Amino acid sequence: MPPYCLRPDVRAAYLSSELVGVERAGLVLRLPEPITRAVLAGDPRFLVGPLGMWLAQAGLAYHADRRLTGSDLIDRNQVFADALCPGPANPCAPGLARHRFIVLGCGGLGSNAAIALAALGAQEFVVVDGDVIEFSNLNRLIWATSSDVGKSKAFALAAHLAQRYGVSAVPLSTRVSARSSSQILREATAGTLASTWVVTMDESEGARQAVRILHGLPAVAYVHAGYVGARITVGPYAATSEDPCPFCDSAGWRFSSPQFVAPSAAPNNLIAASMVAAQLLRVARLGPTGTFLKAQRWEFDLKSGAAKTSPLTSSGCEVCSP
Amino acid sequence: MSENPNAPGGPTVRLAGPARATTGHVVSIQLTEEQSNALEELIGERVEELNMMVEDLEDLADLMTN
Repeated sequence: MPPYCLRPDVRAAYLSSELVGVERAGLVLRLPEPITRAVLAGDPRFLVGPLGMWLAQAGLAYHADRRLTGSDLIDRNQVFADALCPGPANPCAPGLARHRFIVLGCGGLGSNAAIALAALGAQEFVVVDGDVIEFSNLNRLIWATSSDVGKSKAFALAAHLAQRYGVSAVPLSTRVSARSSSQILREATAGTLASTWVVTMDESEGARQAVRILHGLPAVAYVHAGYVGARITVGPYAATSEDPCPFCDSAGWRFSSPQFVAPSAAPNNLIAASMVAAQLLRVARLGPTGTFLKAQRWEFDLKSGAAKTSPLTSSGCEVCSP
Repeated sequence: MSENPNAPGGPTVRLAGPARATTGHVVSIQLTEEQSNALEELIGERVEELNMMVEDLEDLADLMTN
């Protein structure tokens, strides 16, 4: 066994398509390609002597006798989160504190919308999701770290909201299906705070059911966001039963771009989550007329990168015309 | 997940380009006899001292990760 081991977060560095060396934490070591490949493959012959020692001093390798701990690894999500939100939020939007935000679906859209609301000053949350965090989720759950893998999304998000923003967050690790959404919604509406809903689960029947129920409740606010075909849609804010739901209209788009599967990527999710939070902030401060999403929906076309708002129509909508 | 996370096919970083991105310096490392032999196997020539360019990426715009 060589005295040094390459750290597991050392990555291959490419310039165009050429393998030019290795990288860790912003430090790039340029090497001839055969040596780079040998080093990345863990060839023990290159992890000894002055070269091994230099790699260790530069932070690319560690002594084999030393047990590597989690804190030795560069957690890019943690670095990003620390830079973005260095401490508990200072409530700056008091209107948000009068609302309890119930987030149905804690994936890339819902969790980031909740974090944006918490950072703006929201104080109470109920977060609902039946899934657990997988490694493949970490590219879009930018608040989660590798230590959260295997944990309930709802519980991990609630812990993050409580720890970083000092808010009250109640987790419900329940799959929001068409069957369960009715019960969840009715139980969660009990209480003194106004309940405002963020519907962002990826199970379309559950979303449809949730929106249908919310749409029928008087003076209940909700915003619905999700990927539909090649687009992300956000809208509407529905304070009154006159607002039609966009979901069924949106469903038609599923078949408009059958060859295109929209990637659930962090930048796309953050744009949509920002739109959700911005509209709910405006509503909290100005009332239902404060949002331009009343009777409109916002569409972000992932093919062209263009975003626009368009009026809602109730034609063919199962919510408005069941 | 592969057993060796560094192995080819694993995580990579793509450099935006050599001109705008980085500041660097060259480090010369004396190779051991075994390393010189190994390098001779890999590249077909005898090298006893390895000159490596070491670069600090100045900001996130300098790289794209996947």
